Amino acid sequence: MEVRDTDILKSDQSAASVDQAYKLRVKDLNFYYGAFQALHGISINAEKNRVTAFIGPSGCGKSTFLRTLNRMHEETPGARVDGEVLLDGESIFDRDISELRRSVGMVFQRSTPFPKSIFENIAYGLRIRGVDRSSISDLVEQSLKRANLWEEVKHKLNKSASSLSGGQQQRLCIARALAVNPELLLLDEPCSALDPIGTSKIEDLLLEIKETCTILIVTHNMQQAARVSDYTGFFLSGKLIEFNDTKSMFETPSSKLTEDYITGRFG
Amino acid sequence: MATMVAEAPLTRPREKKARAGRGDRIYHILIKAIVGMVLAIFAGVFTVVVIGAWPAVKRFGLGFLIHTGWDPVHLVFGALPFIVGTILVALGAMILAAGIGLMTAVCITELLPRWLQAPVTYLIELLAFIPSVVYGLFGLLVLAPFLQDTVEVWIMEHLGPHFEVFNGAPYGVGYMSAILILAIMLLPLIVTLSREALVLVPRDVREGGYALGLQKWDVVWGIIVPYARNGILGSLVLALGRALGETIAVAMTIGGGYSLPKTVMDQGYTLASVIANEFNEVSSDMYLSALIYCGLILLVITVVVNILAYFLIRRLSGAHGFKA
Ligand SMILES: Nc1ncnc2c1ncn2[C@@H]1O[C@H](COP(=O)(O)OP(=O)(O)OP(=O)(O)O)[C@@H](O)[C@H]1O
Ligand SMILES: [Mg+2]
Repeated sequence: MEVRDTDILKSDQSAASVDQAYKLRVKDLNFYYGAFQALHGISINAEKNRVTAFIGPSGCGKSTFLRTLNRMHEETPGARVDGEVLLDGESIFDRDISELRRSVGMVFQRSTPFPKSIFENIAYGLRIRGVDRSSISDLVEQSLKRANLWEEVKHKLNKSASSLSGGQQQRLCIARALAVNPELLLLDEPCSALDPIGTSKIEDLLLEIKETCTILIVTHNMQQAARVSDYTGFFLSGKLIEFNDTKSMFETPSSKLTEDYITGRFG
Repeated sequence: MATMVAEAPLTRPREKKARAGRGDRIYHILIKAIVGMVLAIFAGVFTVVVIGAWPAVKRFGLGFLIHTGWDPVHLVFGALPFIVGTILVALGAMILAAGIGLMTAVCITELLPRWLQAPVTYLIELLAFIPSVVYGLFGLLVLAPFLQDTVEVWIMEHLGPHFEVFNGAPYGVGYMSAILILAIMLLPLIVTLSREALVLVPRDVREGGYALGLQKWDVVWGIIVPYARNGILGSLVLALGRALGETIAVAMTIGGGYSLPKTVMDQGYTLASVIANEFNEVSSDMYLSALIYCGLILLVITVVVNILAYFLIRRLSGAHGFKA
């Protein structure tokens, strides 16, 4: 397993197959917290190297949906899921969970650096996976550069990560996720705790990393969805009301509910 | 719950402003009064102990700390064996209790299903309510005879001939019993307090580890435990304070003895237990004063350890910015 991981890191996605325009296909996904059904028959296809945004009022199931895609829900006792989730045509539920989570990176709403130095925040996961010593510092530098953070932290890599600003911490978490070269990156309201400058830095970053990676982002901010995403899905009460390319979604929503939401009439 | 805690820092500045004014002043006066009272009590205790110990301090000086010998008839006193005993017993018990206690806390928060966590925690908390003297009785009547018949015999027969530290007689009571009993007494303290520290680790930190595909073991020991380290260290400091000062359970299980320990099965005294056991047999003022001198040493050790621990924790939290 170790050997294969390192290969993925080096071969830089050369394995991309042509016949699969869709990186991710979800079909009839139902999700339950115990007796409570949080998601009802969700079906979407996410296109490769595109940003897909999910919007919807609080509690509609956006985070729940995102968390099933790297099987993070399995850390929640009592959570249950049925339906199909295919990554490159293969069911995620058949894959080894650690290996799946390396190909499906995740960044949370509140940036949560580990209680370690900036360098170690990225190096820790790599080292545990058996990436050899000599390439670790290269990989750390490379992923900090990809996350547009390198210039700000290169002189203080050994400082504690908690000494960074909120926006820098969030980019560190993105760098941490990018270090393992994920094919799919899930972001759950990554900018909700950031100021406009921090937000725009992350948005620029997303547009850069979608060159190498498929991105799914949950956001409360409609303008953000419009700015960064190619496709948008609208959730309401655990159902996917509408899913379309972002332009049509915002200009000519086909559902009355979507229109009400994006014009701010509720939510 | 984890979310609530994580949000606390965001709202704190606003609260502070709202509380300004008269309430603030009363609050300050109250705090000052309490601090003053605590300092006064401490100064009072310290003075009384120093006055009681003064005759012995004058007679034996600091040599009391490094001399061996306890002869009430000829009034020759030296506390070195008790100081060494205190450190050995506290250290031994702390190593056992910290290792097992942290493991237990981690098992409770990270491995047990949620519905089992509360009852198990409660059961362990119950152990803290058992009075020391009952632990002492248990040590004296159950643990010591058990050790005597099994472990100590085995050690004497198999290890004794090869290593001097194991070459002792199996008395049952002695350092080994005292260390084990003390470790058992420290466990609930360490388990419950470090469990609380672990539970407070935000869900996002935990899941940030899992999201990288790390295994449970690496997330727990590499991320969760370091995140909770201030709380865990705090629990260890409290336990150490208890270990240094625990009196009756140790007095009942350590056997008693006035010389430096040579083997793990020896009997001896700690500073606290020598005071407890000898106090009733005091035959002269100088003898009494020597015992109080022991108490003074214990007081100083405890204070110094706590101050050091305070700075250690402050330095650690300052360096990483995770203030408790
Ligand atoms: N661990 C849980 N146990 C039970 N119910 C849960 C749990 N987590 C979420 N839910 C419920 O599932 C529903 C969807 O929650 P989810 O967190 O996915 O919403 P969301 O769209 O991400 O909301 P927000 O925008 O506020 O983050 C909500 O009704 C919520 O109460
Ligand atoms: Mg959410």
